[in-house]
Amino acid sequence: MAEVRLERIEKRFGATEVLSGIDLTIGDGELFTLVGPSGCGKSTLLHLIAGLEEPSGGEIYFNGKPVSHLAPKERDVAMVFQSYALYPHMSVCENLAFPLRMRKQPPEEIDREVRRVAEMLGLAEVMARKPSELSGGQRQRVALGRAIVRRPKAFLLDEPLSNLDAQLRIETRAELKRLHQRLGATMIYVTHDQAEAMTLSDRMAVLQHGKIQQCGAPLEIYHRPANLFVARFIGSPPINLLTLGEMGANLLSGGMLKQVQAAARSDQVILGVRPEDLQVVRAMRAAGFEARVSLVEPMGSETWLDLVWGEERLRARVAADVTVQAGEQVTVRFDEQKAHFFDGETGARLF
Amino acid sequence: MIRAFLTRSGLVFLLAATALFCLGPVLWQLVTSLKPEPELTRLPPILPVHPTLTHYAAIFSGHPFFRIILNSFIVAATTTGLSLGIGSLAAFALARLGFGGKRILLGVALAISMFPPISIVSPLYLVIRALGLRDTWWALVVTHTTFALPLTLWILTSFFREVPGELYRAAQLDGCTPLGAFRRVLLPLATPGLAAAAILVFIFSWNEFLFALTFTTTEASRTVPVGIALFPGLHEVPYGELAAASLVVTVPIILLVLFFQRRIVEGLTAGAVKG
Repeated sequence: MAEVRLERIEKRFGATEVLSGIDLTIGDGELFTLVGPSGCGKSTLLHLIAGLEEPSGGEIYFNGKPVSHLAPKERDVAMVFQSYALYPHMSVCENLAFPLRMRKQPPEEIDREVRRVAEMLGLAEVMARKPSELSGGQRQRVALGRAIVRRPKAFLLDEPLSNLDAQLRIETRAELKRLHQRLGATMIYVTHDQAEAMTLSDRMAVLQHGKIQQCGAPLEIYHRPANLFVARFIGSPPINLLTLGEMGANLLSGGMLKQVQAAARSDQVILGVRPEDLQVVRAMRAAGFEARVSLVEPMGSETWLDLVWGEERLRARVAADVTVQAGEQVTVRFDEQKAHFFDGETGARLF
Repeated sequence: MIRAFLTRSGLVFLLAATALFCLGPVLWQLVTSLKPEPELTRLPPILPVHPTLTHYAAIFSGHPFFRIILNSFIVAATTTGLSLGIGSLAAFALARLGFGGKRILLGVALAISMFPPISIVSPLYLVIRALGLRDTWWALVVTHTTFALPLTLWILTSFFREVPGELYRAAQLDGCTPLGAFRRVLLPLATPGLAAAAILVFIFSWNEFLFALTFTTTEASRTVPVGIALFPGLHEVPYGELAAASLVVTVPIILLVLFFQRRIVEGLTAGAVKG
């Protein structure tokens, strides 16, 4: 097990800068997620940690020891790939044994370890099959097993769930989290799915354009997004964003408006409100603003509403027992203490 | 109904015509090789009236034909082995390792294979003579390998590229050196490519005539195409023996292709590369 520390990591492919100024410490035994849209550099960062690519600048430390100059096999990390990367010409058993055989472990030990992992992942019945004869979920488990079998310093997982169908993905997600608790190993997980990142991670880093936008515990990031990008990227349905013009200014109390104006560094301020922080009431009252319901989507446990307010469209999540019809006029309120304010130009959080 | 019948009979006709075009000369050789001397230069009969195996006996008794076939076999097998050995390592580097000038290297390799052999046969002869390799197997092995390598390189590079990059990376993380990953993962998965390259190189070397004619002088190293070409004497062309010899030397090639073809098909139908 290891603590992984990245210091001022840079990566360029030719003239394109893929990663810049990455500083990150991933604690021993932590399940850490790198999350971001495609092309943000998260997979490259994982490859750097694995040793499949060399950083253009900066240094990587495992337990305080620099490893940037080491080949993948010397770093003792295991990786689960998006395509699983099972060796098609080997049976499940040979696939699981491969990392141990490469480390020249005695045959009886290999046998024992392979059987232990197969048992743990429910692969005992398919040991003689080739990967092409397995279902998607089974292949996924073989890939996991091949990583687990040799007890590496760290596990690197590159979108391991994205090839599974929706139902299986949620099951495997939970299984993965249990597995992490059981092994207590350092896991670095890459995904573009913010829901996966939220549910799995101890901590996560949100990446965009090769830079870390924010790093912290999932709920911390959810409740205090550091900038507009993070606010938009984390949370489903996504956060409501309003340009705080004349119309928007009416939404805030005098005290809050002053605070916002004092913190603003440019003319434009953007107000963000999570869909669940909007309260929708049918009674026409003075407090709040009036909006028209344009769409009602009952989810069962809750109901999603699309609201039209002047030019703006808003998303609200309300309790399932709120019965409103499309086309109805409602009053919308929100707690301004739960609202987020961002600079319109830089996108940075104001306070 | 009638349409389907017409399409079908048209197809059958086309197939039959193609087969006749390809197999016709071979069949004619077979017919010729079985005809006794007096029937050879006469038409009719088309088919031999008194079929005989004397020509087959003659090629093995009158000439060192066994030795010539052995020469050919050793030259072609060594060429194939060397081409695949060197070619697969080079192709692995071109397909998977990062270094500059890959495209140029492949381009140059292709350009070299385009050289008309006749244009470089004389300088090559001087080189071979200077190395003291004249009339040895090595003279042919070296030249054949040089000419077969570019082709091998192109075939294998494309096959190695088709093996998903994640497999190669997974092997490295599982504890392989780059060369280990090549040997344990890439090579087994590129077996169809190896088989295809092996067939092509072997046939090329087996059939090659110009270098074989130039660099060999005795049956110590003479190969089949040259051996057969030297059958005709000053005053007569032994058509029967030529036909028999041609058929005899075609058999190993056919066996080879059939054997490797099974491997190729096996490799393709395993189809496990895609997840």
